[in-house]
Amino acid sequence: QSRPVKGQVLDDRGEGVPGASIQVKGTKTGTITDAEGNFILDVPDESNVLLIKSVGFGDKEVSAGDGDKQLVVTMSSSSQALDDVMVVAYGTTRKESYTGSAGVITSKQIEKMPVTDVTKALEGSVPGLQVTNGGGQPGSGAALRIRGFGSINASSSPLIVLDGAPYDGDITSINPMDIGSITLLKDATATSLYGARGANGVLMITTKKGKKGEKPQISVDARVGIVTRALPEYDRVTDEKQYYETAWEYYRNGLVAGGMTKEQAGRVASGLTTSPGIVRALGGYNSYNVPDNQLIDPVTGKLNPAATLKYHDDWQKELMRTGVRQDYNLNVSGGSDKTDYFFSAGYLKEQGFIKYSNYDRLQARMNVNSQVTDWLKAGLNMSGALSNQRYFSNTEDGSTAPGGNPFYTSRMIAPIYPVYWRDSLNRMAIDPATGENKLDWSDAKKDPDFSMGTRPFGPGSNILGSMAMDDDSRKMTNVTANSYLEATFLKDFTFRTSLSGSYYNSNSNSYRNMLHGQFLNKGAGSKSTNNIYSYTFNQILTWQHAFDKHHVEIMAGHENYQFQQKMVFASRSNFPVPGIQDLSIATTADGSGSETNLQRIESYLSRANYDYDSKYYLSASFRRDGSSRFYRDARWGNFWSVGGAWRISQERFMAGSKNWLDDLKLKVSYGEQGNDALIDRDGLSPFYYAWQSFYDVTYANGQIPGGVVASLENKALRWETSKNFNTGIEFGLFNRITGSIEYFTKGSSNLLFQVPMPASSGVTYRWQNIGSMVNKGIEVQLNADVVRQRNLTWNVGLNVSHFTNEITKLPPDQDKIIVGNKQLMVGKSIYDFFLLDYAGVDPGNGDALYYYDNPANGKRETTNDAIVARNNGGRVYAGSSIPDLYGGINSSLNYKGFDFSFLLSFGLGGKFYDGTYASLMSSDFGQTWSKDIEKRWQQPGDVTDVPRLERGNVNLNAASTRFLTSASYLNIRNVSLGYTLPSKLMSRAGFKSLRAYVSCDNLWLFSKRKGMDPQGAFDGNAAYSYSPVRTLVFGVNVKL
Amino acid sequence: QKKYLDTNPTDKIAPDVIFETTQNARVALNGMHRFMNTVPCVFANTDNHYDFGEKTIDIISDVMGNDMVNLDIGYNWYRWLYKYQNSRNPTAGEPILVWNFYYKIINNANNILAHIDGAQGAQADKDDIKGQAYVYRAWAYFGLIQFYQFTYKGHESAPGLPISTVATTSTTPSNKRSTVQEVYTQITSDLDAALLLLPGGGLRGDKSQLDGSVAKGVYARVALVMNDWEKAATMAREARTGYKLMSASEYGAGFKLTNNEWMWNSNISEEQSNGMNISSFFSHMDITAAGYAGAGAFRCITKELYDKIPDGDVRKTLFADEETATANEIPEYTQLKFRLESTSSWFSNLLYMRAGEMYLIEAEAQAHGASGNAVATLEELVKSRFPAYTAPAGGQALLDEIYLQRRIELWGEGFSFTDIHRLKTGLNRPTGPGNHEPAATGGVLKLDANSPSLLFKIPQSEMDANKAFTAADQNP
Repeated sequence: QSRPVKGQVLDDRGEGVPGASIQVKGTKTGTITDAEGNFILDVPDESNVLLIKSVGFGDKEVSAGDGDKQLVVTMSSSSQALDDVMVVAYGTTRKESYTGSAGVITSKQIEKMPVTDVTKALEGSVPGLQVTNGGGQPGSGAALRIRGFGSINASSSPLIVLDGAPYDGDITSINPMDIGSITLLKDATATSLYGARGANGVLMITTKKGKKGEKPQISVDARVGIVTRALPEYDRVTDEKQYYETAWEYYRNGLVAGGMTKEQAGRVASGLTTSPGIVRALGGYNSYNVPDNQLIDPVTGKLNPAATLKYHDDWQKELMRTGVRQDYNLNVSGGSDKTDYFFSAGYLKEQGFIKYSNYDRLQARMNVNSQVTDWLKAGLNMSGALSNQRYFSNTEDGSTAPGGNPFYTSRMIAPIYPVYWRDSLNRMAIDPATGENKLDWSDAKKDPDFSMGTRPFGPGSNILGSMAMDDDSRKMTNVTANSYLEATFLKDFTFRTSLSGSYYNSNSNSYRNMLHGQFLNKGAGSKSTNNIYSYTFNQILTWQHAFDKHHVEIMAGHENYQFQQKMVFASRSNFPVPGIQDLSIATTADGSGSETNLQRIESYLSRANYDYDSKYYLSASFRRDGSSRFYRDARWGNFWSVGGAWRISQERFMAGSKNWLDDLKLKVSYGEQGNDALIDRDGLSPFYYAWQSFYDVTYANGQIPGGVVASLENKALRWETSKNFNTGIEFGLFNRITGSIEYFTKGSSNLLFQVPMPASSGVTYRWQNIGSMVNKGIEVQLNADVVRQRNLTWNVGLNVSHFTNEITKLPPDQDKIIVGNKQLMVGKSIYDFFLLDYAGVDPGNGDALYYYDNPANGKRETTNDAIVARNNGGRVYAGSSIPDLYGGINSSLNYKGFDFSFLLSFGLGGKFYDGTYASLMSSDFGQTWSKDIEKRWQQPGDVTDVPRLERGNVNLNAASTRFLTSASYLNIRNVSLGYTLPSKLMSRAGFKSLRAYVSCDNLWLFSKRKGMDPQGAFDGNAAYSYSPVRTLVFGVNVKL
Repeated sequence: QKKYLDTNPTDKIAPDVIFETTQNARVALNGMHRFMNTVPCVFANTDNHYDFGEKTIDIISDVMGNDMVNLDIGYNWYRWLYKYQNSRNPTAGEPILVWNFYYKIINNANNILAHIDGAQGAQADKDDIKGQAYVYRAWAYFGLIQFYQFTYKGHESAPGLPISTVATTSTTPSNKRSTVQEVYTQITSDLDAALLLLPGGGLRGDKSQLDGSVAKGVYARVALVMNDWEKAATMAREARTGYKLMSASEYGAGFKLTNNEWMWNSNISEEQSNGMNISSFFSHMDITAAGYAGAGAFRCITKELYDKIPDGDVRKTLFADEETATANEIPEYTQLKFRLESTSSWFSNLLYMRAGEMYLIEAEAQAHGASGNAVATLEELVKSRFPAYTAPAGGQALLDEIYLQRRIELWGEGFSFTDIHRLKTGLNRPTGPGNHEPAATGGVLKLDANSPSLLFKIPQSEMDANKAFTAADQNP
């Protein structure tokens, strides 16, 4: 006997959940919900409990009732989703049975963020993941580190796996709106299955797919918004009066130091002698209406009170704009009982907040899976993206070129320099070549018609003009196709073979104009094409068997990977006319060439999972990799892991705590992975052939081939080894709180080092596997459903990580290696600052003082000579750029149709070397100063920590602890507010749902100093790179 | 199946292939010729726009001397050497620039010398390749020793350089500093070996290839430093035999393309020159090129030396007089000696040695007593620049005149710093209008002949990595 029970399954916003499975507990009777979440099920009379499951939600048990009234079941997502299916290496697993450490980021979290590159959506999302902000260039991504820093001379970036295959394309080509979930694999359990590439963790990106049996769903999302500068500019001297007076004092003091009397020097600096005065020293620019030699009083150094300003241009304002961001996405998904499908198309266009920087992307995806016969399944996931990016090469590498880097120029240029040209009567003019206001190119000698003088800072340049006329751009094509066939046979066996290929092409253009500047009358252009062809082909056999309470799964497989890169470049100069940038018309060859790189990996892999009664879990994996990067006797290696988990809450003796303890799991894992990603210190150039001894034959002597000794052989060279230990607990309390606490150690050994050779050997280094490093840390994640009601839900999440990094072994005879402002040493971290110890300012004369070991008496004393200090123990360890704590706080609140969420990310502790601030405190002619220059020493008795101004004295502003600043920050990473129209209203209009929303990225950053960007790089150094953006978008999401 | 995982680059070749035949071995030799002017040369990245090989060391030598006025501006990459600061800082780039450059030459020469005998090919080819490698090794040690220690005479037992004569492998032990005497013994023995292998002048395809005349030219320089007057005079005379002095018009043509007087120069293609662009000798010297000098890092002769060049001497026209300076808005005395032909191309060849210098060496040696007539030798040279010239009859006046002519004739060619060492005059920079501005020199106007400031510090990287070194091996 049975009774029909009718009901509807709703999500926490009151919308129907399609495809949820409804099962009578303890039986095989069940059904699934329709597109609106409705179901009807015949329930046997003796049963009363229904078990409801749906991906993305926690399981739920409800009483079926007697069938006389409609049952409403509200499922809650996120924190209750303990039983989620999780994508791991070579397959999926249920979270409850996973013995390792992984963080999952759902599409919901990603979709909230108006980002172009998914790496920028990850900050603060899961514990153990550190992310730079990636800067503000449209179409640029962020750098990621999982659980500290795994390497010194090889890459520390995680392996990116897209839909099951290592990804060599451009990550910006992946539309974040297509991403279904991201799993961050942190410990050995999963990463060992990536063998020689798994040591830095794995970021598994899985794209969306349709659901079997789901009605077609069309979803349209349109978001439009504005892009502005997220970080304010440093406080600088921006008015002409203050600038001239400061520069005058700087000049005069330099002359005094050169031997003049103060009075004489003042006269020279004011321009009252035949030597150049301050105006001439500044390139002949006088912003005031008084003669050059009457501008500054030779005694007081004050501006002539009778002077009035002739013009004032604001470089920042001229270079910036409010960028517009548009992002349109359409997707269609659904499925029959045999096939599911997902199609999407997206178009994105983003303008940077600096003029002429842009990115656009046109992208489409198709993901189809089909149960061809009852034993054969097949699928294809294919996507293509076309994108264009216009950028500035100098902001990419942070180089300080006044004619090429808008951030450097607008930050450093003195306020006295005009953007626009004025004639002697202070009138602007139109440039016939551009039809716009004529710019001041500041090279009176070579470009007299466009120059009011010759700036000492960036003569012959005008950043606004060169941004308009020069070009750095690339067109990118990215195609990825992942296909598989999966056969089940003999009941418990599955054989799956997949072939994943990707093609990436980047066509770059670089052009420098011929009208003004460095390439006046010539112009210069270069083109380069970079093609990457890569594929992964694998064959995997799985055996799965359950008997009694035992469940066993064994997997074994083989895999080939090939990476091939082909590059071509050419440069020519001397163009006949402006405007055309193609090389054929330029007369002069400046260099050309091509290069090919090939890398292959062959692998054998296996895994065994066992669980007993959903209480005890064991897993083990083994992989054997052979990599072409190493010599044949050293290239094969074994990687493995073991792990176990105990779900204490499932034990009979815990039955009494069922009412408050939902889940308690203890887990532990250990294993070994490799890192073969040898990379240059600049982080850009990989080494594919490091073990071999070579002549570099790019040294042609004119037309005669030539080569020089390039490298030394090391046949024993092999990958770095990483040994990972992880233990932790996961818990759920009161059906409201979930969390986890984990402890890990990650020890890297056989670290690849460019072991320095004495330069007197003619070779600067050799590669060796020497050195060890260890990262140890704790990660805590907590999630609480504070309120969970029909109309109101409020959820808060927190994740916090702490780790230490310590170098435990360095090459013998090399107890320390200086890398920039760091020094690597056993017992210190990879990012420990090693700097002159600033001792403040001598109140008597305004000298900067540094501590040093006086060789005359062996005592720690102070000196005003930075080189003496540096050579006599003056440099000290001064903290690390690694934060003590970092993490994120997120919260979401739903009230009726409204949803509100925010995400904060933070770093506490750690140091930042503010080199930008240091530059602004040690400016030369033509560059402006930080406002802090007002605190400088001026006369005996002044007590301050800013030394006197004096031209030509490098000791006053030497790199030292003076410029080391706290790196702590709090970033309001994202705030979103949305409203979903009532579904009843919508269904009448033929919509399934309609949500309107507003979302803001990088709303505010709190840091120690205005303008500082502590999230720019892991090493705690400032750079003149593209400053991060604040993005504010308004969007509509419609489902049909 | 083993081959599947063997992959190789497309721009590099294994050493055993290079030394399979003498024809292949020429690749290693021509690589050295190119290394002399390659960009970037010593450092891995392209950011150091003064890293372009031998000619940057020539500029360094003149910047650190008495006769070249520099400006203290950002576009002057050599301003820290002008102030004698970075040469004294073991972690700065400049000591590395000089040290690593020469030692890379030495190791490449050592590799050729170690392997060439095993290559297949004619003995004549092997001799030629080997002879050139010997010259390079001698020349490089000679270049080094003059920056990292005082001159030979009176310092024979001072610490010299680590000497290596084997091809470096990853297990090659470090070498300690040999004495100055040992370094010079190595240099002269390499040059003696080279002279046995290399024929005289005239057999080369181009003047980037070293021949007997270049070997003798290097020997003449070495012998002059060693005060071996007879050898210096003989070698200089033999070295210049077959070369013709530049005419006045050739002299004024810009020192950019090879001519009859040039004995040893680069063999750069136009494309390679253009590839160097702002990181090149002409970028830092020539105001008409679109480089650093053109952007304001002017290089000027001192007024003091300029005034010593008589009117009518073609060499006086190679520096901006008041009229030229005003017309071009450049400082008076700006150099015009090294000039590219056109602004549309950087095409140039770079001078490493010319016959004029050989005349000066010979004359100086003769004035010190070597056989021959110093006055006649000097007059033969100078008259080709200034027909009305007569040299002093002899004695100190003649010697002083030779030293002066050396400064005038070789201005900007890289002899200032090494001559300060060799002649033990110390640094004496004139001041006043047209001369050195004290502030720009960082106050370094005078240095005693024995001032440690005249020594480059050994790079810290060498101090750290050389296991045979202790801290005491660093220069004072």
